[in-house]
Amino acid sequence: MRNRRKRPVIKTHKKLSDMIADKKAGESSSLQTKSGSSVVGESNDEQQQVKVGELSPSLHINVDRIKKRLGNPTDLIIREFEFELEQKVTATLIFLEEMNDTQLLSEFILDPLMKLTSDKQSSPVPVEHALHYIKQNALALGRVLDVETEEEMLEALLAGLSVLLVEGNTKGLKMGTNGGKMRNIEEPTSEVVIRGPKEAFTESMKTNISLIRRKVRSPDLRIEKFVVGDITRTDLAIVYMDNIVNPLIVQEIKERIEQVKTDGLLETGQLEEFIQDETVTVFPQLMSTERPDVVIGNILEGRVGIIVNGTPFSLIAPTQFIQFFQSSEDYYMRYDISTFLRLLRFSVFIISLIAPSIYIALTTFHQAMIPTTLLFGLAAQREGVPFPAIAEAMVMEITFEILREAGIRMPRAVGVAVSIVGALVLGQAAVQAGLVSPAMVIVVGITAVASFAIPSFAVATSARLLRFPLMIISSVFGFYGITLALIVIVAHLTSLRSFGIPYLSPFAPIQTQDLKDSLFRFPVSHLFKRPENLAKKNPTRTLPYQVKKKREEETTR
Amino acid sequence: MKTYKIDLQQYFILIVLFELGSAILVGLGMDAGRDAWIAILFGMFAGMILFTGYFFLYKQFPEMSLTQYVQVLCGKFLGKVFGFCYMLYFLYLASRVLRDFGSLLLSAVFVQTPIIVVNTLMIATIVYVLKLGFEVLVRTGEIFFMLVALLGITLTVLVLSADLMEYNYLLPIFGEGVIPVIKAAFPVTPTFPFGEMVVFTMLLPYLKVKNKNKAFKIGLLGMGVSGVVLSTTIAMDIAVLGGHVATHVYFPLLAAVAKINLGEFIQRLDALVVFTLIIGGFFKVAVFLYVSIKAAQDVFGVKEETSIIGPMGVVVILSSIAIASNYVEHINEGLNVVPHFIHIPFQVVLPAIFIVVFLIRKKQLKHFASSSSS
Amino acid sequence: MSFLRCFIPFSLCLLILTGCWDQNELDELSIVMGIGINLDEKGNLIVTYQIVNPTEVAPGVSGGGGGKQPVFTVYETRGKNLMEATRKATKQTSRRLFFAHARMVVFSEKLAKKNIYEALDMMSRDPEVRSTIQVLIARNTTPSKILRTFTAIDKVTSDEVAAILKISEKNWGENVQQDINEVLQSIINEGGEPLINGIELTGDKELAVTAKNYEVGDPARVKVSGMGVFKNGKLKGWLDGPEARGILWLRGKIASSVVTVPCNGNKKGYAIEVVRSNTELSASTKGDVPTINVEVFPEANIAETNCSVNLEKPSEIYKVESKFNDVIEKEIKKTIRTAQGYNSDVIGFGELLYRENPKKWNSIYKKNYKRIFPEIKVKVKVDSRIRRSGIRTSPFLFEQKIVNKEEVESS
Repeated sequence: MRNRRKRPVIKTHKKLSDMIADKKAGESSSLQTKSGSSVVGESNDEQQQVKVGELSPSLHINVDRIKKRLGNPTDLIIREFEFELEQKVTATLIFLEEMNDTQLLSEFILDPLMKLTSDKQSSPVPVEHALHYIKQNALALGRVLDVETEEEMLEALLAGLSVLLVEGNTKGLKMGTNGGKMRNIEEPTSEVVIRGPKEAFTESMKTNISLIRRKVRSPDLRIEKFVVGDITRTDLAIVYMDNIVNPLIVQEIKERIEQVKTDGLLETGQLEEFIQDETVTVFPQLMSTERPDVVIGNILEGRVGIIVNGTPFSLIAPTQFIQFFQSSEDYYMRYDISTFLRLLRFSVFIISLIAPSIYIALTTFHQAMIPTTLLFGLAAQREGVPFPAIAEAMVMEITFEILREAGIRMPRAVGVAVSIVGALVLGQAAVQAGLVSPAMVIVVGITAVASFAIPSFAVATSARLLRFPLMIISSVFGFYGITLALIVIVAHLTSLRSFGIPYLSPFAPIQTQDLKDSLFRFPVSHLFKRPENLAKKNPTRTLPYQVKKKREEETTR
Repeated sequence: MKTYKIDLQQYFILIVLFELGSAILVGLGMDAGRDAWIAILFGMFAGMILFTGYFFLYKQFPEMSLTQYVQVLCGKFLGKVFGFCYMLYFLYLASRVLRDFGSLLLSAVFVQTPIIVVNTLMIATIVYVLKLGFEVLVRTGEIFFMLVALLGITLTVLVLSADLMEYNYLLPIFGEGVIPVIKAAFPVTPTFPFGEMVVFTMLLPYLKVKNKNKAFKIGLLGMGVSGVVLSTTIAMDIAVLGGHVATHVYFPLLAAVAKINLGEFIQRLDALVVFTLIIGGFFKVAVFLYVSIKAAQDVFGVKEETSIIGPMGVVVILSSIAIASNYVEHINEGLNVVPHFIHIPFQVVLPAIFIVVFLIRKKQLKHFASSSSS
Repeated sequence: MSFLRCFIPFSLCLLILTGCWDQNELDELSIVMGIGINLDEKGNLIVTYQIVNPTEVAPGVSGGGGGKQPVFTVYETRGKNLMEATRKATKQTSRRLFFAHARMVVFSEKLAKKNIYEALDMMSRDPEVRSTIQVLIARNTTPSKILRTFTAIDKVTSDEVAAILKISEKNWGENVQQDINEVLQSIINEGGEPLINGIELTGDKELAVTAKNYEVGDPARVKVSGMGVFKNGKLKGWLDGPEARGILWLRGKIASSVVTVPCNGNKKGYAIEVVRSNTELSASTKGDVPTINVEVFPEANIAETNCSVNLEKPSEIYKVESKFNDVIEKEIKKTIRTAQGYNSDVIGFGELLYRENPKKWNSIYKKNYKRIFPEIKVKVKVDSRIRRSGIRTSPFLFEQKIVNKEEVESS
C-alpha cells in the first residue's frame, strides 16, 4: 500500500557515451562531406587507430571531433596558440564563449602560457610532459583537472569550463573559468519578510551553495552533487549537516534522486514529483524555498536541502504539513506574535478550505443554526436570485479562479484592467443584476483573501482544489458531508509520509516536545530539542539559558 | 506488512474517544433521573473491574488477541466457535452504534433523508480510513481528539458563562435512595459504554509497551477520564435542562447547548455538537468494525485484512437497517434485551469463563504462553 | 487502488442520485416567527403563523419592487392537530413553513383553560421548533390578534414580545422568561405547576392590525401582563403586579426592580432600586404539614425620595431598610396566599420539600400534596441592605421642612 511511488523508466535513453559512439559511427560519412577538407580525410583514417572516445595525440583530430560533435556552433571558440618548452608546442584552448569569463582566460591561461620560454625552465620539458608541466607551473587557476576522454571533454565544455589541448598529449586539461552573465543575488520575491535576511537564491547553484556555506561555518556541512537529466545534465546538490541528520533519510533521498531517469530537469517542481512519496494527493510533500536562511534553518533541524542548478527554488526534505504554515520570519520576531500569526495562518487555511461549503450547508440545510437577524439578511439577499446556492457558489468561485489566473499571467499594466473588470464589473454588476447574492460575494471574497494569506503557495493550492469537492458534498449532505469529508482529508493527511516521516507529525502521532514549535512557537531559548523524528542522533539544539540577568540596581551601580 | 504498534498516548486517546464516542450525546443512566451522573460513576467502576479481567487475560497472552488466545484456551474448534461469536458480536455492536447514530442524526437534522444513505456515507468513510490502515485511524483519532477536547472546553465555558445552570436541579442526591441509582447503573451503564472495553482485548496486543502495569494504569486512567467527563456532561445537561427534560430528549447535550445565547450573537451552536456527534460515531463504528475484521481474520484465517474491510462494511450497513424496524424497537432492544442477553454474556460471562479455564489449564498452557511471548 | 476505482463512481452516484432530501434554499422557506394556537367551537385547533418578510426586515436591502410590503404576513389554518394544521397551511403559502426561528408560541385563554398539556407536547416534539421558544397566553384577546398586531420598534411582533419579556424580567421583575423546556420541567417537578406569562393588547385594537399602526404616535401595543396560574394543566387565574413579583422574589430571580416604600405616612416615600437579590429557601419537615422558611437578601439603592429624611444618618437608612423589608415580606406573603388559594404550587415548594427530605416526600407529602399545599406555613424573613442613595446625600426636601409638614398634615 505504502509504496505507490512509481517512477517512469525511460528505456530509450542511453548513456551519453553510447550516444556519442553511435553518432560517430552513423554520421561519419555525412560529416566528411560537410567539412570537405583533406585534413578531415586524414584524420578520418587516423581515427581508426585511436580507440573511440579516447583522445588522440593529434590536436587536429581532437578539435575536429569536438567541432563535429557540437555541430561547429558559433559560440564555440577554438583558440590555437603556441608556447615554448623544449620546443615550440601547439596548443588549443577550447571554450564556449558566453559561458566563460574571457578575462580569466586571457589573464590566467593565455597570458602565462604564451610568455613561457624555455630559458626559464631548469631542465627541458619534453612535449609529452607539457600538460603536467604547465598545470604545475603556468596555469594560475584554482580548478584545473585532467580530462582523458572525449566524453569528459564535451561535458566540461558544456558545463562552462574551458579545455586546453596540447599537441602530442593524449590528455587535456579542463579549467574552471566559468563565467558569463548570471542574475545577481536579489531580494526574495515569493517569500518576502519584514525582518530577516534579504537575500534569495539565484539560478546558479554555485552561488546558492556559497550563500549557504557563508552562513554555516561547520566542517559537518555536507554538500553532495548529482547530475540529473540525460539531456540537460542538470547539476543538483543535496545539503545537510552530517552530525545531525538521520543517515537513513539521506540514503533514501540519494537513492530516489539517483533513480530519476528523464531527459531534462528545469525546476525543483519536476524533481519533487519524482521523489515525493505519494502521487495521488493534492498536498505538497516537499517544501520549496528561495531563502537560504530557510534551508539552513531546516538543515539544522536535521532535514536535507536539495538545490538544483537553474532555479532559485530549492527543496527541503522531509517536509511536514505544519511547515507550510511557518515562515522564516516567525523565528526572527517575538514568539508571542509568531504564535498568533501561525494560528492565524492555520485558521486562514481552514477558512479558505471550507468557508464556501459552510455557507452552502448553513443556507440550504441548517438555517436553524443561523442567528435570526443574520438569517433575515441572508434570506433577503437570496430573494430573487435565480440559482441555487451551490450553483451560485460554483459560478463565483470559478469566476474568481479565472480572474486570478488572468491576473497572474497578464502583463502588469493589463493586470490592473483585469482587476477592475473583475472586481467592479463582475462583482458589483452581478450583485446589482440580482444574479448572485452579496453575501456570496463576501464569502468568495473572504475565501480568496484567506487563500492569499497562507504563506505557502503550494498548500494554498491544495485548499483551492479541495474547496470544490467540499462545496459539492456540502450541497448534498450539509454539515454531515463536510464533517465526513474532513475526516477523510485528515485520514489522508495522516496516511502521508515524507521520506518515511509522518506528514502530520508532531500532531499525529503527537510529539510533545515538537509541539513547542508547531502551531505555537515557544521562545527560542526554550526550544531545547530538534524534531524527534529527524535528529535522533543529535537531539539537543539549545541548552537552558542560565544567565542570572542583572537587575536595575546592579547595572546602574 | 509490518503490524502497527500504538503507543501509550494513542492508546489513551483511543480509549477516551471510544468511550465518549456516542455516549456523551445520548443520555446515560437516565433511569436514575437527576442522579444519572452518579449512576455513570458506578457504571464506570464496574467497567473498570471488567477491564481488569480483560487485562489479566492480555497479560497472559501479550502477543495475542482475544480470538487468538481463545483458540489456545479452548482448543481449536471451540475456540473458533467462540471467536466467530465474538466476531458477530462486534459486528452487531458496529451495526447498533451505526443505527443509533443514523437515527439520531435523522431525527435531529436530516428528517427526510433515508437512513441507508446516512449510514452508507459513514461506512464509506470508515472503509476508506481502515483501508489506509489501523495506524491512520489511530492518528486521525489524535487529531480529532484535540479538536473535540477544544470544542468540549469551549462549550463548557460557554454554558458556564451563559449562566444556564440551576444547581438545584441536581439535588437531592440519592433522593430516591441508592437502590434506583444502582438499578439504573446496572446492568446498562457498565455495559454501555464501559463494558464495551471488551474490544480492547482485540487491540491490546498492538500496544507498544514494555511495562504492562503502566499500560493497565493508563487504561484505567482513560476509562476514569471518560467516566468523569461523561458524568459531568450529564450533570451539566441536568442542571441546564432540569432532570425531566434531560432524561426525555434524544440528545440532552444538544438541547443544553441550544440554550446558549450570549449577547444574541453566540447562539445556536448546535453545529458544534453535531460535529462532535459525527466524530464520535465515526470512531466508535470504526473501532468496532476494525475489531470484527480482526476477529474474522483469526477465525477464517484471512491473510490480508484489507480484502475484507469492504465486504464487512457492507454487512454493517445492511444489518444496521435490518436489526430493528423502527427506532422505538431499536431503543427498546438496546435498553432491555441487549444488555442482558448480549452484553453480559460477551462482556462478563465469557471472559470470566476464559479466566477460569486459564487458571485451570495454567500448567498445561505455560509452555505455550512462554513460547508465544518470546 | 481497486477500492478507489469502485469508490469514486459509487460516491458520485450517491451524490447525484440522492438529490436533496433535506435541502431547502433560503428563498424557498417561510420563516415563522410566532405561532398562535386557539380552539374553535368544535374543539379543533386554529393555528396562526406569523411569517416574516425578510426583504422588509433586513437592514440595507431594498425590497425587490420598491413598493411597501408589510413586514410580516399571517396565515391561519384549522386542523385536528398541529401537524395537520401546519400541512394545511401549504394550501395558502408558496413556501415551506420553517419553525426553527420561531420566538414565541401564544396559546389562547380558551385553550389554556381546557388543557395545555397536549399543546405543549406538540410543540416539544417537533425537531424544528427550538426549545428556547417562549410560551405565552393571550389574555383578553386571541393569539391571532396578537400575531396580527403591527409593532413599532421591533418590526416583527414575536421579536418584540421576546425582547419585552427579557427586558422586563431584568428591570421590573413581574414576569419570568419561560421557554418550553422550563414550562415542561416545572410541570414535571415534584408537585409543580407551570406559570406562563400573559400577553395582552392595549390601545386601539382596530388600528393594531393595520399598517397604519406604524404611523400613529400612540399605536396599539402588545404588553406582557401577569402570569397565568395553572392547576392540572388548566389555567386557573392570574398573578398580577406585586403578586407576580413575589414569585420572582421566591425563586431568587429578581435581577433588578423598583419597590416603593412608604415614609412617614407618605405611601410614595421612597423608590428603592433593587440591584441584586438572593433567596434562600429551607423547609422543616417535622410535622404532617411542613414549614418553609424563606430568606430574601436584597441589595438596593435609594433611587428617589419623596420625604424629608436626613439620609446622611445611618439610623435613617436602617429605618428605610426595615420598611423595605416589610414591603417585600408583604408581597411575598401575598403571593403565597394567592398560590395557596389556587392550590397550585407555582413556586416550587414541592420540589424544595423533595430536596430537603425525599423519603418523607415520597411516603407522605406526595400523595396528599393537594391537601397539604394550602396549609403549608411559610416564614418569610427579608434582610435587605441599602448601599447607596444615588448621587445626592439628603433630599433637598429635607431643607424645606415646610413642604414636608404640609404633606404630613394633609395625609
